[in-house]
Amino acid sequence: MISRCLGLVVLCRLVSGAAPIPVPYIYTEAPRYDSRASLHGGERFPAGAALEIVSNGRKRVLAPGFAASADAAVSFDGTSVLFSGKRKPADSWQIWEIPLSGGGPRRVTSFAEDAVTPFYLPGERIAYARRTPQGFQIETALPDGGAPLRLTYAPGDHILCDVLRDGRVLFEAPHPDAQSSTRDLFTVYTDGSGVETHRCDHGRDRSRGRELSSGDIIFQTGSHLARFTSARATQVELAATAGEFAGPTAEISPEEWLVSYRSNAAASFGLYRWRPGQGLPETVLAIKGTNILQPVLVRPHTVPKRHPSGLGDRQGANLLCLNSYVSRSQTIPAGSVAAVRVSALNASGVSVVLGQAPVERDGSFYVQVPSETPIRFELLDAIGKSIASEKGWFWARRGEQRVCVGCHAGPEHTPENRAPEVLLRTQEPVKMALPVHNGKQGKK
Amino acid sequence: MRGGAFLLAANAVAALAAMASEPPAARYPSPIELVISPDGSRLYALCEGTDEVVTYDLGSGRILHRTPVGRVPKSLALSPDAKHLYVANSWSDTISDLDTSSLQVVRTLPAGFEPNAAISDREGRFLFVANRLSNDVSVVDLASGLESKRLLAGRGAAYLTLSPDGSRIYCTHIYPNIAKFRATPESEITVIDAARQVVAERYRLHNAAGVFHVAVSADGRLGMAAQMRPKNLVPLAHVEHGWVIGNSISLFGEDVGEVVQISIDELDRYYTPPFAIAMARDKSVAYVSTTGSDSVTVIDIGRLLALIRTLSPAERRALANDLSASANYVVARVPVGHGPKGLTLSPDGKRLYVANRTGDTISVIDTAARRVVSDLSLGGPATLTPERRGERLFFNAGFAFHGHFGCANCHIEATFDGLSWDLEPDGFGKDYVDNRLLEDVADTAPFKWNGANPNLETECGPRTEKFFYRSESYDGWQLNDLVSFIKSIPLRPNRYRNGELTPAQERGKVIFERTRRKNGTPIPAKNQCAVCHSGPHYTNQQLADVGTGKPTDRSPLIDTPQLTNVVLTGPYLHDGSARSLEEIWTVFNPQDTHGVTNDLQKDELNDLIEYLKTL
Repeated sequence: MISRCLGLVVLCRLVSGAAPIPVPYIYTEAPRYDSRASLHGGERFPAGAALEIVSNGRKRVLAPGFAASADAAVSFDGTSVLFSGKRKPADSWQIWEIPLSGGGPRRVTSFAEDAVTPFYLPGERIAYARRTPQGFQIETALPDGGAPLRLTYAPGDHILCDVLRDGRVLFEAPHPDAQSSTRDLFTVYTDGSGVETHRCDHGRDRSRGRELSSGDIIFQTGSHLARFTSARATQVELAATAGEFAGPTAEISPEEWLVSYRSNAAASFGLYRWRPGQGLPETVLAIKGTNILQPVLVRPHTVPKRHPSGLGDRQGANLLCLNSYVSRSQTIPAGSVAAVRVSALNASGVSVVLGQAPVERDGSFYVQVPSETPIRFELLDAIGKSIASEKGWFWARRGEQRVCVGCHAGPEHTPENRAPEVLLRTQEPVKMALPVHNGKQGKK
Repeated sequence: MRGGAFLLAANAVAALAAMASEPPAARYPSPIELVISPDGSRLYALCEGTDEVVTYDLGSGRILHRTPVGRVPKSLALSPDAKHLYVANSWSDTISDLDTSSLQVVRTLPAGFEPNAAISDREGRFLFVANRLSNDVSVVDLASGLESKRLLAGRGAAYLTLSPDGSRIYCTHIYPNIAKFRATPESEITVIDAARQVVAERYRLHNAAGVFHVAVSADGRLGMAAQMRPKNLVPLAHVEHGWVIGNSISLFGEDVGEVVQISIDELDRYYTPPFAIAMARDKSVAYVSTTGSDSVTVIDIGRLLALIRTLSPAERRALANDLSASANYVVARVPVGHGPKGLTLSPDGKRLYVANRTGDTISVIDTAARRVVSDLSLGGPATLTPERRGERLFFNAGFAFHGHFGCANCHIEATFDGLSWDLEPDGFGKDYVDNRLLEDVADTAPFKWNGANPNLETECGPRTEKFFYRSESYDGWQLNDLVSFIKSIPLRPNRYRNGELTPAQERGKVIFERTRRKNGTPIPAKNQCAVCHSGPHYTNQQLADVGTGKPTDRSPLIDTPQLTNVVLTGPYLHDGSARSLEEIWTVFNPQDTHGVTNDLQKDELNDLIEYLKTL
C-alpha cells in the first residue's frame, strides 16, 4: 500500500545506520514501474504513483488528493515544486506546481492530452513533454499560460531529463535508427534550435540523464549507470555493481549520490545513497512491493544560463554541411558524392522527397528546408545511387541557420578552417519545400 | 538652520580640499610575466600596469624592491649569469637592463617598434629582441649597447626562448602573417641561429593565429608554443563543437618530427586562450596558463608523446580538431586568479608561480598537489574602478557558451586579430568583416562595418550575446563596466610621428588633403580623402559607398573607419580583402570611387602611405 494515504508520518527506521540526507528530498513511490514505457508508448506507473517529501526524518505526501503524482522538479530557489499529476485515475497527466512553504497545488497545464516531466527554465518559463499523435513532444510555456512553444518535431516519445546549466534541455528519445529499440540522450536549445545527440556513440539504450555539479551527465544504460564527461566523446562506465539502478539520480555531494536501486530483478527499487566505485549502495529507504524512484533534493540550485535566441525572421531553415565525406559511421570514398537528397515527413507521417542539391568537390552543400518538420539527408553518387543515408529524423526551427562538420561527424570533431566551396559558388541555398497537394502544403 | 548651512559649507570646502590634494588615480599592477632566480630565492614580477619590476624574497614572501622600468613592459628575462634582468618596454621602444644585485636599471638599450620580449644568447654577448610592430628581431650587442642587426620575423613578433644548448632562438608572433583574402591563416615559429644571427628555419603553423609563449624542454628535444586556431572561414553559426576558436599547442622538435598541433579543449569546456608554457625539467609535465579561463592546464608529456607516436601523419594532422584528444594527455586543470598570464617554475619544480594579470596577484601552485597553496599580492588599489572591472570582463571567457572565448580572443590584448570573419546573422558566405582595432573607438559611433550598432552598449551587449556568445552574458552593470573599459583603452604611441613631418609625410599630407587631380580638375567633395576621413579620429562617422563592396555584401554602404594607427591594422577594407594600404588603391579602386588615386604614381602612393602612418 502506498504510504500517501498516511499523510504526515514519522519515518520508522527507514534509515538503518545511514547518515541522514542533509537536506529534504522528494521521491516517487510506485507499486509498479515500467522503465521502458517510452519505447512502446506505455504508462510508466501503471498502478499509480505518489510523490513523498522527507524532511528532518519525517515524511509526508507532497500533494495530497492526487490519484497519481510523479516527476518532481524543484525550483531554482528551492521554494516550490513542479510535478506531473492527475486527480483521478482516468484523468490525463497534467503539470502542477506546489509551494513548499504550505498551500495547495496549482494546475499549470490544462490539456486534453498527457503532460509529464516538467522542469523549470530560466526566464520564468517551464518545459514539459506533451503527448501528441507523433508521441510525446517537448514544449515550453509560461507557467501562467500563453501559447506554448514546441521544441521537438520528430516522431517518438521525447521525454525531458534535465535542464543543463548551459541552458540546453536534455531529453531522451528513440534512437535515430528507427529499427533500433533503444533510446539516446539529446540536447536542444530552449527555442527548439540546435537539436543534436549529446554524444554520437550510439547503440546502447540511454535514459534518465541528469547533470551533476561537475557538468558530467549521469544516466541509466541497461540496468546500470554510466556517465558522459566533458572530456570524452564516448560514455564512461561506472564501476560495476551487482544489482540494478533506475535513473534519475540526485547528487548529495560530488562524491555521493542518491539513487534508486535494487539488488535483484525480483525486488522493488529502493532509495539508496551510493559512492560510485566504493562498494554497494547503502539503504536509505526500502519498502517491500513499492518502488522508490526519481529522488530529488530540495535545495536552491544554480539557475541555468538563458539561451538568447538568434533565430532570424526568414522562412525555413538554412543548413550548411562543410564536408559530407566526414563521417564516423562509414567511409565514403573521396569524390563519390554528387548530390544530397532531402526527405521530410509530411503531415501524414509519410516520407516525401523534397529535392536534391549538388554536393561540391569538398563535400559541402547548402540547402534551405522547411522548418519544424522532420527531415533527413541521403548522399547520392553521380547516377543517383545512394551512398549513405541518415537513419533518423531531425528538424530545424524557422529562421535557424545550422552548419555541420559532416554527416555524423561526432561532437568532438571541430570544423576545418576552410571556406566551403559551395559558399564560394553561391550564397543562396537550394530551396526545398514540402509538396503541395490539393492546394494544401503537406506541412504540419 | 544656520548650523546646518555651516556644516554643508564646511563639507563642501573639505571636499574641494580633498579634490585638490587627491593623488592621481592609482594604477593596477597587472603582473604579466614572472622569472625566478636560479637559486630559487627571488621572484621577479613584471607589472605592465605600473611599469615596474617587483622583486620578492621567496623565503619571507615579502617584496624586496620595486624597480621602475619603461612604459608598458611586456616581458623579462635573466642573463645567463643571472646578474642582469632584461625588460622589454613595449611603449618606450627600449630594453631596461636591470642589475639584479642593486635592483636598479643600469642602462637602457635600443629596440625596434614595440619590443615585446628580449633574451640573451648563452654567452651573454648579444640580446635578441622581438619587436611587435616592426615584425622583426633586433640583435643588440651587449658590449656596445648598440643594435647590430634586424631579422625578419612573423607579424607581431612576440615571444622568444633559447634552446638549452644555446644554438637556437625560437620566436613566435601574435598576428597571422598577411595572406591572400580568405585564405587559411598561417603563422610561424621563426628559428634563429644564435651564433650566426640569421634565420635558420621557419616552422609553419598552419591555421594558427595568436601564437604566444614558446618553451623548449631541458633536453632540447621538444618545443611547445601556445596558440589559437581560429575558425574564421566557416560561418559562425553556433559555438558548440569548437566552432569559433581552437585552443592549441604546437609541438616541434626531435620528439615529434614535423610540427604537431594538439587541442587542450574538451567537448563541453574550453580553456582559452593558452598563453604561457612552463615545462618541468624532467619533461614529465607542461603547464599552460589559459588567461580567459582563469586556470592552468597540466599536460602529461609522456602520455602526449606516447599518443603521438601511435598516430599516422593524417591522424596527427587531425589531432588539433579533436576535442576528445585532450582526455589522453591533460591530467589537471588548476583554478587560479583572474587573467593568468606568465608562469615560472621553481628550480626544484615543486612550485609553479602564476601571474594573475587582472587579479593583481601571483598564485603559488604546489605542483604535486596541483592546487594553489598561497597567493602573493602585488599591492594594487583595494577597490576596482568600472574600467578595471570591465577589463576583467574583457579578458574573461566565462560568458560565451561553454566558456569558449571572450572579447580578448579576437581582440588580442585589446587590439585585433588580423582576420576577417563570416558572421552568421546576415546569412552564410555574406558580409565578411575584418576585425577592427579597439583603440580610440570611444567617439567613433556607429559601430559594425555596416554601422548597424549605434553605440558600444549595443555592440557589446545584445549583439555579442546573441550572435557571438550564444549564451546569457553581461548584466547591465557588467555591460557598463565593459564599455567603460573599451572606451578607456589607450591609443599606443605613434612611432611615425616625431614632431615635424618628414618631406615624404608632407607630400603625402598634400595628397591626402588635395581637392584637385593632378590635371587640375576638381575632385568632388565626397571623393576627397580628408572629407570622409576627417575629424580627430579621421572619420566623419558616416556610411558611404566607395565602390569596395563585393558581390557577397548585402549593401555597398560601409562605415567610414577611423584611421588612427591605421598602419598597424592590416589587412584593410571592410572585408580584409586589401593586404596592404597600397592595395586599397591599386587593386580595389579602379574607378576612383574610394578617393582619387589613379592619377598617382607609385612614389606618390608611397608618400600617401607615409602620411597615413602618422595618423
